[in-house]
Amino acid sequence: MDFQVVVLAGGTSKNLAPLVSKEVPKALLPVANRPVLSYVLELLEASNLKELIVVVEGEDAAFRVGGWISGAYVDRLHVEVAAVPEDVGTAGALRAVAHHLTANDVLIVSGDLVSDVPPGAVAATHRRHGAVVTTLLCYAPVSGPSDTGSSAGKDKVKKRRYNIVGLDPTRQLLLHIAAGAEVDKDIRVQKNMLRAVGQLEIRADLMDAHMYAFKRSVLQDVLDQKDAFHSIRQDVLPYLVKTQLRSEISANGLYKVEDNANGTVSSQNNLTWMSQHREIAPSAFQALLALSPRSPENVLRTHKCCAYIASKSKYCARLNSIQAFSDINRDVVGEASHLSGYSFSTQNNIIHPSAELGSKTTVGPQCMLAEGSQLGDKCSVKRSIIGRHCRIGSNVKIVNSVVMNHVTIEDGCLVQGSVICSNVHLQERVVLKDCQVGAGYVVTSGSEYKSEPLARK
Amino acid sequence: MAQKKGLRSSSSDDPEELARVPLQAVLLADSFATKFRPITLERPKVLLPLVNAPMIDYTLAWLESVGVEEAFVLCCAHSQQVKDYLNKSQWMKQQGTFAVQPIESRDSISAGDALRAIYNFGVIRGDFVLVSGDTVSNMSLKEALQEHKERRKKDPLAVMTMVIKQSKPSSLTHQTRLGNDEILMAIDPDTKELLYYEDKTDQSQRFITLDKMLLANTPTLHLHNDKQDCYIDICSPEVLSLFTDNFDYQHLRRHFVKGLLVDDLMGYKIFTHEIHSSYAARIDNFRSYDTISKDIIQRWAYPMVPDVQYFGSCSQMKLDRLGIYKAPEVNQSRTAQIRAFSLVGNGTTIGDHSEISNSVIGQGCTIGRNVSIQGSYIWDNVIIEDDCKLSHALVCDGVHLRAGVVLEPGVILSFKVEVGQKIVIPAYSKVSLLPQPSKQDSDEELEYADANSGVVESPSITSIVNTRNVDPVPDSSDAEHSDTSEVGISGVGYIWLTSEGGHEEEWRHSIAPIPAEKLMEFFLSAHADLEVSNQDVNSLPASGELQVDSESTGFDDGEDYRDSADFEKEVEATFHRALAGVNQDNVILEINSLRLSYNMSHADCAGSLFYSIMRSALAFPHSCNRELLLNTGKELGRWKDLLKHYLKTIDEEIEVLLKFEEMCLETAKEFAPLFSAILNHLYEKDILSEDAILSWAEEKEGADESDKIFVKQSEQFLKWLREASEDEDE
Amino acid sequence: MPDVQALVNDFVLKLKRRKIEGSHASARHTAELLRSVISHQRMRQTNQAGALIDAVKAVGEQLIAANPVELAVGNIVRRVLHIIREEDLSSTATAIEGLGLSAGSDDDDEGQYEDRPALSAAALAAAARSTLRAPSLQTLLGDIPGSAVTPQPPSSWGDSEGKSKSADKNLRSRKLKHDVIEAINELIQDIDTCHEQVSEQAVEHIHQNEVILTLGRSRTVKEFLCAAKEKNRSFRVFVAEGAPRYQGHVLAKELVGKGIQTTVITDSAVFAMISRVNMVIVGAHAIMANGGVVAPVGINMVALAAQRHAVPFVVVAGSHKLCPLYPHNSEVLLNDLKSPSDLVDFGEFSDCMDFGSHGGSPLLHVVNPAFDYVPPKLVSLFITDTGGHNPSYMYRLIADYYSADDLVVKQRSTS
Repeated sequence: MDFQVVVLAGGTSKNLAPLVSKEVPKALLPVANRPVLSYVLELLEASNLKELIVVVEGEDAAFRVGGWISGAYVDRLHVEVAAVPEDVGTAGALRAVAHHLTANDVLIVSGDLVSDVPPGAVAATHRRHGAVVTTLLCYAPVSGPSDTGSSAGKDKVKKRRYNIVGLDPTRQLLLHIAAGAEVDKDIRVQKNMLRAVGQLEIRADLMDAHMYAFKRSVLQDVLDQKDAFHSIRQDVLPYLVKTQLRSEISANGLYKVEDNANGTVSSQNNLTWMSQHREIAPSAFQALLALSPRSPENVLRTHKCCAYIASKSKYCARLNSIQAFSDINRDVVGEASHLSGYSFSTQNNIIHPSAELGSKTTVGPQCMLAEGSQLGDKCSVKRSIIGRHCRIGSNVKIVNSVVMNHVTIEDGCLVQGSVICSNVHLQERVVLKDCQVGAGYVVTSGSEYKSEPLARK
Repeated sequence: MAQKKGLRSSSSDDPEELARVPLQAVLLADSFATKFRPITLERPKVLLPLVNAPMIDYTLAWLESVGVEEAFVLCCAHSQQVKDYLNKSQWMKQQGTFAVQPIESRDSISAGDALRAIYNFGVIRGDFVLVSGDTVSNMSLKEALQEHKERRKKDPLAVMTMVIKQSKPSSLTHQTRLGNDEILMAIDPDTKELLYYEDKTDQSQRFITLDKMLLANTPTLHLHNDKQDCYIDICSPEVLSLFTDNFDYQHLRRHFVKGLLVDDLMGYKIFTHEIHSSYAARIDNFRSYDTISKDIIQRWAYPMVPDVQYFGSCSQMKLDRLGIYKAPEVNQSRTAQIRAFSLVGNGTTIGDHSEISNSVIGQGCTIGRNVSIQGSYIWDNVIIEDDCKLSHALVCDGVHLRAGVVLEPGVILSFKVEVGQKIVIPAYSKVSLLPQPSKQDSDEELEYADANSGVVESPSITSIVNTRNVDPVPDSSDAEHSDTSEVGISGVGYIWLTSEGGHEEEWRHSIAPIPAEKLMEFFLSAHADLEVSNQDVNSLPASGELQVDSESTGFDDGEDYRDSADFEKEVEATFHRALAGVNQDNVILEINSLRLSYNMSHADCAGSLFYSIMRSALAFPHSCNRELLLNTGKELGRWKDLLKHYLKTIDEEIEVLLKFEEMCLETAKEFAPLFSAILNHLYEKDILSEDAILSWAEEKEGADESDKIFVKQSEQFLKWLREASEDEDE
Repeated sequence: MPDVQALVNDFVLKLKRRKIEGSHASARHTAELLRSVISHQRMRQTNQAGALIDAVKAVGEQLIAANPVELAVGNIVRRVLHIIREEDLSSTATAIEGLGLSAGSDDDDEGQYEDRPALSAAALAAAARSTLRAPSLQTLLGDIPGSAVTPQPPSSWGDSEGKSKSADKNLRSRKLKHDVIEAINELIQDIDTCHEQVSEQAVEHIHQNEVILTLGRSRTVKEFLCAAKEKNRSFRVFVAEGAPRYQGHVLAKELVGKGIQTTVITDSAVFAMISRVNMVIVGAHAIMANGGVVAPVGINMVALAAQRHAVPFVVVAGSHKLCPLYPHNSEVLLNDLKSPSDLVDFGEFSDCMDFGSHGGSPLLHVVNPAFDYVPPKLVSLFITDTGGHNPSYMYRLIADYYSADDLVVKQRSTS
């Protein structure tokens, strides 16, 4: 199908420090010992989208990502990696690669999305409605990742909110979306939008999963005209949604939209859509329209923004915070284990055959030991992931943690709820609770840390 | 508070009470509006014939059919007429399960007063149905009642269930087919709780703004503009006592519903019940009169349709093809034509070549030759001479149109008006025997005012009649001179002039269809509107964050500031009146109403009240700070109770504190040195609770230095408080 | 008698408000009401029958006016009037006898009083229950004594009374009333049992492995089918759902409950299915004097389909549905237009009915008639509680049940 896919893989995001670093850009953070990017790529591959453009912030990050992809997906996907300067924002990133885009519709996926929602479904909805933009909405996780966009400190809202979306009764048209800080303000809905549909469903339990299908021409127009727009989620999307009833996307983009829209109206009589046209519908009215001198420009130009709501059963999360990182790692070997693509043992854990376990060492369920890892005696691993070629001494407890590759943990350590990056060295009797240890860091023996990030200066 | 307690207890033993109390209904036999003037000057609205049966019959019949056992008819304006009618009607006679009892309360000038009157009568014992006497419905209340009672069992705060029905408003005029403005409601899809209600929307505002807190406890809500309010409410007794508690509630929706929704102080909830197949509507203005008549003729209100003489009053009708209803004794000329969707009452004669379509014609009318009547409503005993043309007009009893009269769309002819030959009555004009009430009278939009004014007028009518009998050219008294010329030679009646502002409403609410050019206007304006709305979308700066802020500061907050500013002034003014010795309850009342009208929170009230108290304290002459402190002490002591009335929760107390700070910084620097002292004082007089003060202090922790001065100033006081609280903890 | 008047008013209201609907219910209520009217009627010495008739007519007029669509009411009123006349005749007959052998001792007078009316009543009952040929004969028999005396106007009975014994008088006065009430009780019983009566004949009409088609739900039809089933006939039933009230769904439930093989189809599928059907059985709202049928809407279409495929079209109905009137302009006058909300959702169409912006005249008109009129030529057979009849025979039955001068129930202006 004529879809081009842009994966926004980000760069070395601030709020994932110290996990990310020059060596390990966000896209390559391991989730169950696979780079997070691989989840998106395989998701796309699964729905047979093989034309990919991966946009990475920063040259060397791009270089690394490119290196990894060409290694992993050499003959499976046709990927080109584009590097864009740091913090141009998602919109900026798209502007940078705009000239690559040729297809009718563009699917834009965030590289940190870990999900099993088929992009095909989103694309299909997009096509079916001839929409200008279709966005994937999924049920917001109850606990867990806090959205990067919305500024912190709005604590007075008890339940964390990601977006506030307004849908029509058929839950297909996206009529209102509040992202970022707007979420915590009062809800302001355009009246004429409400009038168009009669009934508007406002929901706070949905999250914009950052997977969009755009009509390419429209997207490019918007990006060109509104060069101030910085983020897709917070600028482009809300703008398109707001201007649905009176779209002013000029020229080529528009007419496509128009005839598409009419097409859908005539083909499947989508009542809602009709009623959206009701602005000009009332029968008594067409006559007037004819009479009126300026009837030609009276024709309302509208476009549609649609939404695809993933069912509750689907897993959908974005790796955009440390909290999210450990959550996702937990889920992927836990409840959402089908994502990881590994086969689980009877104890519901994964122990690579080449891993060596000392005597009296227990590996609980929902754990993962990658190849070449060695555990000494009397260790216990619970609900944790241990990367490749880690050397772990005796009497080590690892609970609710992620240990990346080539980590050395000496005897008697206790690691709890922490993230330990590659090449870290924990000397004897180190106690870590809720810490993040940056790559290559050495924790001196006997030291205790509680919920603080450790990284090389 | 006393009544509050009473409520609690009553609601607690409700379930068994519900069990035995018969289903009661309160029927307001008065619209408390002037929409139907001048007709309502002479006859109460509920007795006006709707498809040849008085409106009240429809309502009563419905009440009986849904199993209401006691119906209290509250007669306000023209109460005598209503009572007389009921006394001779079937309703009083027929024994059995349905008892109708008229209650008279002449001095009620609003729905609020009426309900308070009911409360004082103390006849309502359980849940009751509240309708106004102009409601037409065939819905069954069973499940609505069921739901209501279920909810009441669960939480006694669910005091009211509103009946709503889907009905799409016109996308151009933004008014429903019944001529009311569109209503915006927010409803919780699961519990059906009503979260937001806005009628009388001002079209200038292009945004609906919902309080974010609405979504605090429910993840999703539905926003409707395609629902019609049927004005059928199932209420619990609390509703009455609520009305009695706050006297300022007048209008059932604008004050009561808004009141409950806006300030959640009392935590009362309103729920909705949507009906689908059955019909329910209320006659609010001439347009709805027209629409509902048509609905009845099209049998939506079955079985309340003319040919099923549901209530004995109206004569037997025969339904012909294409919705033509004819009474048996209609004496119609062979060449006269009665077109679709028309009704002709008993004993009416229709002359040759006359045409009638989409019209209702009452009993005993005489219609001459070559008369054309379109979409008009002609009541009983009307005489229409030859060659008259009526389109979309309403003609009351006993009117006499001489030959060749033309009534343009939307004309209203009140009782016994006579129009001379070949007169053309301009569109939307209203003609009555009674002169138009003087301005201030008509301003206060009440039907009751006419009850007595009608009495006053009556002689003038007779005088006119006499003069006409004396000599055919009735210009004997100069008073009528102009008027009669208005309605032509040997015509009788005053043409009411409608103020320009009024005229805007005229076409909205009249019987006549909306003129095409109006629609066109709307169509274009709709475009313009969209244009603008886009512009302001575009004008927003780039990034989402900024966008929001700028937007809100753009107009919203701006207004808010203005509002709060003059709100403050108002409050202060009120307070000064209080100084002048108005008693506190009234002050509270006034402030309440202010709060509603500006729709402010209690915190705001508290804040501005405190503000004005301090100001008054400041007003006293004082040489040194001590004196000032003393004065303040006195003032606070004096208005403690008043202030306490608004300090229900910590937030409000904090608000007061912040206010105080602000004053010290800006308006009244004199207090600055005394801050901690007064703070202490406030605590002593336990106007402020210690948690309030502490949490205020904490809030300030984060703030920058300039904000902190007062926290610092009152440091030791705070410290002392903290220790105190710790002591308590141990 | 105020209490009776109250009863009447109450019933009138009920009829007006459509609280009582359906021919069976309304027929029964009417009969009971008339019974109480008669029993409360004070009896003058002279021309009692006349008095009774006036009283009944007075009430009947109101009842019929209350809901002209409910023909059963009128039928019952006429039946009662008929009964009064019959009883009057028979009692007058006995009176002649009485006068004739006034020499005879009181007791065997009594005897005669006992058996005579008994006979006439029996005759009547028999007439009511008799099958094709029977009623004519027996009623003829029954009529013989009556016809002998009819020429004398009832008024003359007054003075002839004068001669006879006073005891005799009040005896007879009570007698007539008593007999009438007896007969009305019979009538009520008939109405109650009509379903059984009808369904008794089911076996004769429904045969093994037949396919029956019906539309909507009629209690008579249901009883009929069930009866056949109980006589363990095995057959299949197609039920057309009978839009817009979809009573067919209910019927289907009931039939399946009785273990009958049932298929529900849409009304519009009738024509497609009819070719596989052996017999169409439907209920009726009323049977007109010409053999035409007023039946739930949609049945006319079924009848046409049946005729097209030469499928017998059978109408089952209790005899209280027999209406002595002839249908003129029936589809309008005898129809009941129900609320359009059965068809369309008001809310969805509310914008089509926005008269304000649509030039004032309603563009949308939704018609929801309750009844169809099926002309006699489409009906193959009527099955009433007196057996199966051919449409052309209806007038005869009606002649048995009603007397010609009651057709218009108008209280003749009593000078």
